[in-house]
Amino acid sequence: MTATLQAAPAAQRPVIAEVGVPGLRLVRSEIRKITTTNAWWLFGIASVVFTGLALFINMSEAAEHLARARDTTAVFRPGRGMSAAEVAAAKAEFAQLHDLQLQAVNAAGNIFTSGQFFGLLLVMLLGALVITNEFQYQTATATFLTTPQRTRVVFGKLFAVLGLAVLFWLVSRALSVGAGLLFFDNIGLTNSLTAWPVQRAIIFNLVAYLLWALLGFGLGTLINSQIGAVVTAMIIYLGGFVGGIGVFNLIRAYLIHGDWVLTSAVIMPPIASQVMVSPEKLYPQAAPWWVGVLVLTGWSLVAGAIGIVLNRRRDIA
Amino acid sequence: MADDGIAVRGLTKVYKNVRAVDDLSFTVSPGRVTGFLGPNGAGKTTTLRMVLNLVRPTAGTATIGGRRYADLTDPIRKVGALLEASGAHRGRTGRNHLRILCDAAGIPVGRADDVLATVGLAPAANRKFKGYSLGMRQRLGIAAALLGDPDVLILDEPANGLDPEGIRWMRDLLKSLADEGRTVLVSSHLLSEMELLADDVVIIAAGRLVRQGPVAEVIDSAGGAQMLVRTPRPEALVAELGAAITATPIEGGALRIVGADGPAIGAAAMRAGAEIHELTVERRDLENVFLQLTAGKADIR
Repeated sequence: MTATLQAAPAAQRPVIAEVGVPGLRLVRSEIRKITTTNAWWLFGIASVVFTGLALFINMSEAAEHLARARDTTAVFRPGRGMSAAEVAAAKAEFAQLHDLQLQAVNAAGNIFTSGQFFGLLLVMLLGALVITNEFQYQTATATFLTTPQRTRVVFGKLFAVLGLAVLFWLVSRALSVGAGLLFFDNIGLTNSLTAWPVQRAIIFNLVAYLLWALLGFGLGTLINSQIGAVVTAMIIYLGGFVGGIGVFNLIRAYLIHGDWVLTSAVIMPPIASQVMVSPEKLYPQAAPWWVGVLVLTGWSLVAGAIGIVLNRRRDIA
Repeated sequence: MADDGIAVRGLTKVYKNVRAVDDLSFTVSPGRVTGFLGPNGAGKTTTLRMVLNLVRPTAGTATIGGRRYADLTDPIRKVGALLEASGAHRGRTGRNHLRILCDAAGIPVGRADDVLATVGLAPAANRKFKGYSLGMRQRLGIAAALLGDPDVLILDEPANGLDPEGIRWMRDLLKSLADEGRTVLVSSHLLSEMELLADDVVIIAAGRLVRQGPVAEVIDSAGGAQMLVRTPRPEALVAELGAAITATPIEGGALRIVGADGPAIGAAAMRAGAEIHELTVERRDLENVFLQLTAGKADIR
């Protein structure tokens, strides 16, 4: 070879510095992956739009409820032919509807968490996309060449996804709290921000954002096909909200007669989520709020753990 | 074996019904360009992906500088790879694609611009991947392989989609990288290009090793030179040359003779009184040898 004849020209090989904190390099890389494509801000705009819509609906409703509660001229009148029990129930409901403090707290809880229905769906889908994009666009090869320890890649993505969920929560809450403060100021009522049920609603709203992002991420890890993961995520989210409790009601009515059937409906992620965010029992047989947290975390861990094991063995071709 | 060689030992990959790679062993030396050749479906890509820890071998090992790829501490500072079926997000710019890899490897992001300039992609750095031509995508892949200034390069069909100028550029680049003492393993279908580029070749077919060695040796090993002779009295000439040679008539009344050189044929023709109209040495090329070596093994499996 010529290399042996002529002294190889002292190759000007570049000196490449070592930068970044080892543990955070992958997180940083994953955050750049998210911010260098369009999905995150398109989803962000969608989240803002849905928050706006929900604010409008929640405020109109709240205005109506608060106006009714403030109407001091309303008097309870039992309907004709009601039994004593029915009269008592109707009276209790009347008292609640006209309890201004209770109505103000309920209105504040709703308004300050406006947009969570779609917000949660969006962070869940983002969580799934972050991992399925690698397979959709065949970037898994470059990613795993750079970091052959695939599980570390998964955890880098996990932190990026949770950060993104917090960001989405922050933007959505900033909007709804800002608008809510104006709303209460405008009608001359307390904003109830100091009331624990309202604070709880906002805090658990954040927990919900994190857990749904985690669940979407777990699904994406398990199902690498983008379309498969997205469709599954939407079925779990929307299907559970729409028909979830109905199925358990049918089971209880026709198959197994026990209240625990209704309690066990918490196993479905959307019901777990509602059980968790509701200040009071979602329905009389509902499981306590922390069961909802456990169920959502549990599903995410199961999906994520199976996904990680499969991912370690999978051929990237 | 020097530090940065690639060693493949008994590598095997079995998919459901196919032994894609079958007990394959070969070595790749630093400071040389090694061509990795084989018909479609021979298992080239699967082998390279097993070397790079992307595909799990059923059996066998592959090491780079004595270590498995998964055990390298800073893999992209050691090994640069370009593989088929690897890409970038359609909506991401070339520069951002590289910066993401820099982030993950702890390389300063400015290095992305350096390698974009090296591969001539600087003007398109801020364009999205979906707008790149096949040749530009290939250059981006090469840029990614060069990010860590690696000692070892593994390239799967790097000439794909490149124009003649691009192919020449690639050839010069790979040769200069090998001259700097790096290990370069490159797979290709372009045999004439390989003959220009490679110092060594590894030829596989149906997942098995067919031949390995320096290009000239591999060509010679497939048999000596052949002579092309044109004469009005071929029978007389063949009879005079004796049983030690093989002569095959080819189109246009000429003979292809293996086993005798020019002086021997000239002397025999003179003794036989056979007039010689043409006598040429037919140099065997890599393509010729490749087709002979892989004949019958090139079926799609």
